[in-house]
Amino acid sequence: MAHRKLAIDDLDVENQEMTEQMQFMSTRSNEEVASMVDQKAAAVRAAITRGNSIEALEKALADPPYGRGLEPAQSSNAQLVSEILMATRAQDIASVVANLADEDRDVLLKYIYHGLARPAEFNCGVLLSWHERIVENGGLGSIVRVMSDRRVV
Amino acid sequence: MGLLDEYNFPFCVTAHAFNHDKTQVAVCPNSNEVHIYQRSGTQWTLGHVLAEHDLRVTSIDWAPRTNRLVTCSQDKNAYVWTQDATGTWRPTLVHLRIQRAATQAKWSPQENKFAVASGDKCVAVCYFGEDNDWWVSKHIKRPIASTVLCVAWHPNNVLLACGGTDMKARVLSAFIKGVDEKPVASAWGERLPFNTLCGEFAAPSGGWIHGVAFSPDGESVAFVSHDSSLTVATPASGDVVSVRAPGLPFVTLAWPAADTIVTAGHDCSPMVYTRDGASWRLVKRLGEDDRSRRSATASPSSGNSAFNLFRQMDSRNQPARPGSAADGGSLRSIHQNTITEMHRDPTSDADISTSGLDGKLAQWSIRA
Repeated sequence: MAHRKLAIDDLDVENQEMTEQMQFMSTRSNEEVASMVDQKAAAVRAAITRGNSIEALEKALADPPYGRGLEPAQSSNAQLVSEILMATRAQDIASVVANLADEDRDVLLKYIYHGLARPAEFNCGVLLSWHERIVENGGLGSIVRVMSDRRVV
Repeated sequence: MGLLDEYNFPFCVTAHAFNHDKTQVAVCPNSNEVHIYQRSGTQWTLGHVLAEHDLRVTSIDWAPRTNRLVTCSQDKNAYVWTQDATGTWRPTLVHLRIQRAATQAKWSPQENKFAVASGDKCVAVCYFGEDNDWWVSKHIKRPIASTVLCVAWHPNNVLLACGGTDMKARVLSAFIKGVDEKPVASAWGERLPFNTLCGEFAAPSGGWIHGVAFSPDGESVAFVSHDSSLTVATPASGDVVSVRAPGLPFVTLAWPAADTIVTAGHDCSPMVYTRDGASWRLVKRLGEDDRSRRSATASPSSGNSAFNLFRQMDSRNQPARPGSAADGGSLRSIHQNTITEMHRDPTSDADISTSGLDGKLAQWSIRA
C-alpha cells in the first residue's frame, strides 16, 4: 500500500505529458493567466451589481485557467463564479441556465463540482440547486463530460 | 423507424456478425468461443462452435462476399475462418505479432485485407502472403500513444480510421504495395504511403474514443467518445462538429446513409441523428415509444427506472416493492443493458443490428 503515500499523479510521467500538452496549447504563461482572472473579476462584479447574471457568467466562464501550478488563479475564478451563483435569484436560475451556451454549461458544471468538493469555502445548497437545473438541461451527459475531461478547473 | 426483429440469447453477447443475407449470425457468448447460429423461422439454432482462441473473443467480422470470418481475442491472436466443402469452419492463423490483446477486427471493403486494433498501441493491417500461405501483418504505430479500441475502413480500401484510449481519433493510410492500387486523390490526401497520418481529431471534453466510422462516400469521419459526444470531421471543409449528447456515453456507431448516423451505448437504445445544416440533430431514440410498458413517473430526459424508484420512495414515502417499481423493474428501451456492438446490415442501407450485455440481438429499420 506504499503507493497511497505517494502523490501518484506527480510521478505519473504520462499524466504530466498530457497536462503539459494542454498547457502548450495555451499560449499564455501562468502569470498571464492569473492576471487575466483578476481582470475578469472587475467586469464580472459590475455585471452582478447590474443584476445581469447571464453576462456575468459568460465573462467568468470564458477562458478557464486550466493547467498545473495555477491553483490560486483557479480558486479565485471559482470564487468569482460562486459569487454570481449566489447573487442570482432562485426563480431565475432556470432561465439563466437555458440561455447559456453548451460549452459554458459544461464549464459551469465543472465549477459546481469544484465547489462541492470544498464545502467549507462554498455554499453547497446553492450549488446543488444550480446542479439540478443544469442536469435537467444537459442530462447525465454533462456530468459525464465533467468527469471525462482532463482539463480540471 | 423501429424494431424489426429481436432475439434473446441466454448469455451476454459481446460480439456479433451477420453473414451476407442474415441467415446466419456469429456471436461470442462472452467466452473464448464463437458460436454460429442458423436462422430457422423466428429462432436461431446453433450450427457450429468455433473454439480456437484461449481467451475472450473481442471481435468478429464476417466478410459478405468471400464468406470468411475474422475473429480476434484477448489472447493476442486473430484467426481467419473459411468454410470447407463439408461446411466445417477451418481456422487459419494470422501472424499478428502484437504483444497485447486485440480489441477489434474489421475486413476492408474489398475483403482482401483486415485491420486489427490492439492494446499494443498499434493497428495490425493484415493481408494474405501467398508465398507462406498465411496472413501477414504490417503495423501502424506512429503516432498512436495508447490502446486502440476501434477501427473503420474508408470505402477506398486504403484509408483507416482508428480511435482509442489516447483520446484521439486518427485517419491513417493502410496502403499495402502489391495488394492495393493507388487510391484516387481525395480530401484526405494525395500520396498515401503506409502509416501516413491524414487527420487527427479529439472530442470536445476528451475521453476514450469508443467507436469510429466513415461516411458512405468517405468524405467525413464520425466518432463517439466517452464524454457522451458524437463528433463529425470533414477535411474538405475543415469542419469538426461535435454534438453533446444528453445521456450516458455511446460505445458504438454506424453511418448507414449519407444523412443518418446511428449511435448506441450505455443508454441501451440506438439513437438516430440526422444532418441539420452544418450540425447533427437527434431525431429518434429507437424502440422507446412503441412499447406499451411506460411509467407515469418516467422522467423525460432519461429512461432511468432506478432514479424513478428512489424518487418515488422519497416523494411518496413508498418503500420499494418489486411489483411497484416503474415498468416492473425493466427499462423502457428494448435492450435491457448496454449495447456493445452495432453493425450496418449487409443486405440493406436502411437497417442496422445491435447486440448487448443483456444477450439480446436486435435488428432495426431506420427508414424514415
